[in-house]
Amino acid sequence: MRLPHVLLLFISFQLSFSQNYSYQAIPQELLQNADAVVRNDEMRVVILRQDLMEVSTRRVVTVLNGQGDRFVKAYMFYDNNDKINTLEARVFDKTGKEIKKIRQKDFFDQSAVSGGTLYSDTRILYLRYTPTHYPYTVEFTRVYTTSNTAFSPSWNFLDGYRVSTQQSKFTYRVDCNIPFRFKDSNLEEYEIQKKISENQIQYSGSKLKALEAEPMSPPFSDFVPNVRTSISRFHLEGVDGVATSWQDFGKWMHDKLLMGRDYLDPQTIKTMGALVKDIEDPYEKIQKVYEYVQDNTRYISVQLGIGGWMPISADEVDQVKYGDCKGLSNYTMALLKAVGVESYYTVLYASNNGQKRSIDPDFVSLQGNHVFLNIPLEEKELWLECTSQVTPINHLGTFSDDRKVLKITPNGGEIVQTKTYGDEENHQVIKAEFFVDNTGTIRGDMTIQSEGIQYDQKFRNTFKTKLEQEKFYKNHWDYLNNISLRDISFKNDKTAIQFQENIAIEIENYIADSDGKLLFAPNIVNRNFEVPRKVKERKRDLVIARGYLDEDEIIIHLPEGYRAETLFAPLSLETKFGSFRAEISEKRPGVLLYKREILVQSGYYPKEEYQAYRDFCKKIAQFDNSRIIVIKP
Amino acid sequence: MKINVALLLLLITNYTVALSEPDYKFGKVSEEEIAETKHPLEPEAEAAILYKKERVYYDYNIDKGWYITKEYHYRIKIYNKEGFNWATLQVPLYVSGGDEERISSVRGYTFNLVDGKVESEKLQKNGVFVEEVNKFRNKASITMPEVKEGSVLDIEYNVSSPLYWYLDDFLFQYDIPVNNVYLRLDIPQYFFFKRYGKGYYPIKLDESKERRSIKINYRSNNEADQLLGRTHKSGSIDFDENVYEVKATNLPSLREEAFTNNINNYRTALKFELASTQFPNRPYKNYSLSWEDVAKSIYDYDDFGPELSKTKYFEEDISKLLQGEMAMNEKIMLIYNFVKSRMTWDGYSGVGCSKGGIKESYSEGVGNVADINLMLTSMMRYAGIKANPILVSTRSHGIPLFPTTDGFNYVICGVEVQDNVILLDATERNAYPNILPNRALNWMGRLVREDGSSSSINLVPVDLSQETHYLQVQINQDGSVEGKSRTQYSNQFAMSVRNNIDTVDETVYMENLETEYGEMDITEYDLKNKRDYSKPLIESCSFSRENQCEIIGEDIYFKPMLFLAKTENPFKMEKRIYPVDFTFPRQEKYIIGINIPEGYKVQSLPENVTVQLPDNLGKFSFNIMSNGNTVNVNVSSEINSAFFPANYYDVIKEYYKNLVEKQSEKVVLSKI
Repeated sequence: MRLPHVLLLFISFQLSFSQNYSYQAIPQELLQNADAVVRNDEMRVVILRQDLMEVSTRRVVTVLNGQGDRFVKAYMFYDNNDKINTLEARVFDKTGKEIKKIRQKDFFDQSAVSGGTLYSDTRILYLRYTPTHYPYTVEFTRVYTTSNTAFSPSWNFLDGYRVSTQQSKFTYRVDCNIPFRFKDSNLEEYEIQKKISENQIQYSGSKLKALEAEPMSPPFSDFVPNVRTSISRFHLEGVDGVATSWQDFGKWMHDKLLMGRDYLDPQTIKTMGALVKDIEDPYEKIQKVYEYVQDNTRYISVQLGIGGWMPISADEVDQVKYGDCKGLSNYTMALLKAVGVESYYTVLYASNNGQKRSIDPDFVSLQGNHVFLNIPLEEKELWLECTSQVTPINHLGTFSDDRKVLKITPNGGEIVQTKTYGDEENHQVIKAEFFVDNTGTIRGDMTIQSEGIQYDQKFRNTFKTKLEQEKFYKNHWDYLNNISLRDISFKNDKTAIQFQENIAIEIENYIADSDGKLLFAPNIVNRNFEVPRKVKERKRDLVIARGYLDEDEIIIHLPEGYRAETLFAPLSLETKFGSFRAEISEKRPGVLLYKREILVQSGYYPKEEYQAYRDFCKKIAQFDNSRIIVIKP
Repeated sequence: MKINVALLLLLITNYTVALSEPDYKFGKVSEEEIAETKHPLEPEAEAAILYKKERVYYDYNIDKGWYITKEYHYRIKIYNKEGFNWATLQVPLYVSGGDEERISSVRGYTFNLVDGKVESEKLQKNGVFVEEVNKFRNKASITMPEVKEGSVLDIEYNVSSPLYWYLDDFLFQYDIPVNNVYLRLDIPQYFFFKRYGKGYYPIKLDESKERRSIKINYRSNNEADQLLGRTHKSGSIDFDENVYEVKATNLPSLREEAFTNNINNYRTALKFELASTQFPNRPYKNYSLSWEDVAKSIYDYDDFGPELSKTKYFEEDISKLLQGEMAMNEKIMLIYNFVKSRMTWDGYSGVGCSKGGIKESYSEGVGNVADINLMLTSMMRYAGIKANPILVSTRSHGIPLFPTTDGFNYVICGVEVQDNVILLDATERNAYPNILPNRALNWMGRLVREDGSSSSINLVPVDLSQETHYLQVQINQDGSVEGKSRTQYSNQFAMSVRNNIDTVDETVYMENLETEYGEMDITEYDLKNKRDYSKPLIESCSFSRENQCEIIGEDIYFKPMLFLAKTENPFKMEKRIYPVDFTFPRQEKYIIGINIPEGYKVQSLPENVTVQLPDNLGKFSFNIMSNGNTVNVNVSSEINSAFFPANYYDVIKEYYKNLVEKQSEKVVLSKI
């Protein structure tokens, strides 16, 4: 039975908030470090049935300056499953007087196809308002119903850096006897009250001060107060689901979203058979199949209805040879199955910004933004990224390393950990030989061998045009003016996951001549400049997300007759963040040997250590620029 | 320097290329095409357009009236994985009022060589999507199946357009090479289009005439016919058509590099602009032919001229503002500041006022660029000042090489004082008379007078924008420095710094400043003339910085310009085929006084040098001298033109190379 529309209106929450939107009424402490103040943020969610959820929100934001505009957030994503009952915004001036009212029809309606997606049925309605004076206040109200109860709401009491919250209230109620769960985090240091009853939870917070961003800090969501909810029986794009345990949720995903979608044309199965003919070793079979997928498919994302959650069938991908992460992973899984290798569809949060985000293991719910494959071989567990035509087997990079992910098996779901790169595994070795001539030019060649995360940062250069490669290196060595790249070649060992760059360069005027003394920095090709910005009173831990190890050995041949005059004394630094060693010596007359080793250790360090870390970086930056003097005696 | 438009505008020449016409019948892809692994002329290319055909013709239908059919055929070669993006075509479909363009008859095949045999895969419905982007535009996406390295894609589709007066630009040059292009337009005698070519690659446009007949069915309104049940009638219209054809081969790829105005200015393309119509039994109707006509027709738009002539809504406010005796310059500034402070720009460009009209914009305090600057013009006129709107094309919109009404997308105000025209734009708080936002600094604008006549106006600033740094520095024995800094910014530089200051919080601005110069401590920061736009902006502070100098052995080495030294040549590429655009002429000056630590003496100084660009277009001079324990440095760099044709690239690159090298040279101090 469908609930008549009129009934819903009665359920809609009452606008009972007594409004004083004047800027004057904001407590002083909420203005500090803030570009905007969230005056009142309320959300009320009522689960009426397994497939019906009503959401009412009202958000009032006072924007203090141009940087604060982004916190107004008067928009709504929607698709065919959503029915909008109210969508309205009102704008107030500094004194709290209403100056404009915007109705639903005046919101801008646009398709919400994001970059990288070809088509999606999601649209966005948003407010286009040009503020004439600061501060101003926007009240945004919306009420809608949706059948997608799988997107159980979560609540953040702070919206980001440089925004404070005056009042914030979240109510979640289940009116249909379906068990639900909730989890709150990081409430301790804030004024947040909770009221929990059998079918309802309510949180209200007040006076949360604005936070400042700090370099190398933990992810925002790790330390700000939030509440998440999930319901044990839900509905998603026409399909009912369960989420009581990871086991059950995974089982549901397997049975409803994956099962039967692995059908392949017998011809394709035959092709696969031929591909791995006479191969016994499962790793080699995987290699063949993965190579086939990489050579024959490409990434195209289309998100339509349940297609946002269910992979396109393997058969269809087989025909068109493209798909999104779900489609390509499911296809690869089916091909592997055809050659007798079992693999598992695995859901995760992938990241392009290098942050490691885990599926929250304590909280069974629809999570993740990406899919790849897990293959437990006897000797080793493998991971396959199926959307890339170039990533080697078992190379995760910063995209998917070191995090908790949800592995789906026919028996249900399971939370597992992806591969972690140890500090020394992110290894780079440079061996170079340079020749200095009489005109101040230095030329030579080098090999750079990279592994782990350092492999990740470079191997895509293979696929770039000569022009782009040139750009990359000129940018990489932007401190070397007048650099000419003479020769660039690569060896990409996909099995060992090692990348080797062979580069010949020539740098004009690298050597400064000062009255017959030649000055130059022996660290030619690997200088560290990054020193994170100074923070006056550091508030949060220092996070080095990934460590690395660099080892350089450079031989420098001086021009005929020249000898070292002033070389720097060796430097050796040992800190809790890692170590640095550099030394230079005259190996034999006219030939210098420069050696450098840096190890950076990943980890969480207490905030008090931040300055010490900066000092470590500064010393290295300075030392990497140090010059030596050679003369003709 | 004045640069002739002809440098950019490539006239449609009679340059002919001998064509050995390959067969590009849809679906007939040769094995050689699929087997090819590299483009013969550009081996680095990730993909190529082997063939592009566009055929455009008109039809008439008694219900729909005139409409255009555009038939497309693309044959695309994918060489490697980087080229996979070319396996998806995005087709913009315009929407105008109730009329919208529609796509139909989409057909496609992907051809691959599998074990030496040609295999083809058909594009299915699931590879075609049409999306409503917003109320002005739809978009069709076509993505091809079975795409691999080496694939050849054959794609055909039609677009039907009721917007019979509008033809999109015909593009011949892309990020990837184009081997063959064929364009044919059949245009009934009733429509006359003006044709323009642009870009560096010559193309030839052939013209001919053909006879055409269109059959039409219609319902008769004649009473006798209706009585006799003979309401369905048919007839035909016969007319001449102008046929335009372009055949071109081997158009090289063109990609964007640094200091480029807008790459589309330089790509080879053809533009058709409706100039007039002459239907049977109807009067001749002229649309646009010359810059004069363009200006006039924009002036006649309902949302331009009529809005400009409205005055009632502001009369009271302006009269109050201008009470008492005052000079004309004073009036101009009062009105300009009044509009700047009252109005906020909503970010929209265009030459027409917003839908609600100029009056509503005025009362709300928000408007698009036409609202704001037409209002400004109108107020000036009301105050007895000679003011006119100037039509502009923004940098992102491209240089308007030829007269078309959609060539302009922005409008500013020009005030005539004596023989000068002062340019005003009130959309930006930090703009000033003759200091326009960078987006408007694009070539020439068109000033339109009340009588509809118009003339061309140079928008690119002639005056140098200056940035002058004064530093007084103490160098310490440990290599650290401390001192005072004062920086003066004028014109465009001042506007951009004021904009920066306005967009971030002051503490954030300071932090950025400290980071910009790397590990600097800044105190006693002060800003003068932040809102006094008639004067240069002056930023001053005290600073200290560790490790500014290098200590090698007993000697101290430092760059005479310290942290202000430029360390990177912005021009890195070997060659360039299109112009270098600095946006505005500029001068940077550094006047630095340095005290060296006690117990040291100057051992060596870099040599003085002057580097000049040809034709007096630029000059870099570096002067340094020491006197006892002080070193005085005087450096200046001038770029006297905003715009340099591509043949100057090598000298500009060389100029910057010298500049960077000189600035990296060091002073050596040794112990006494």
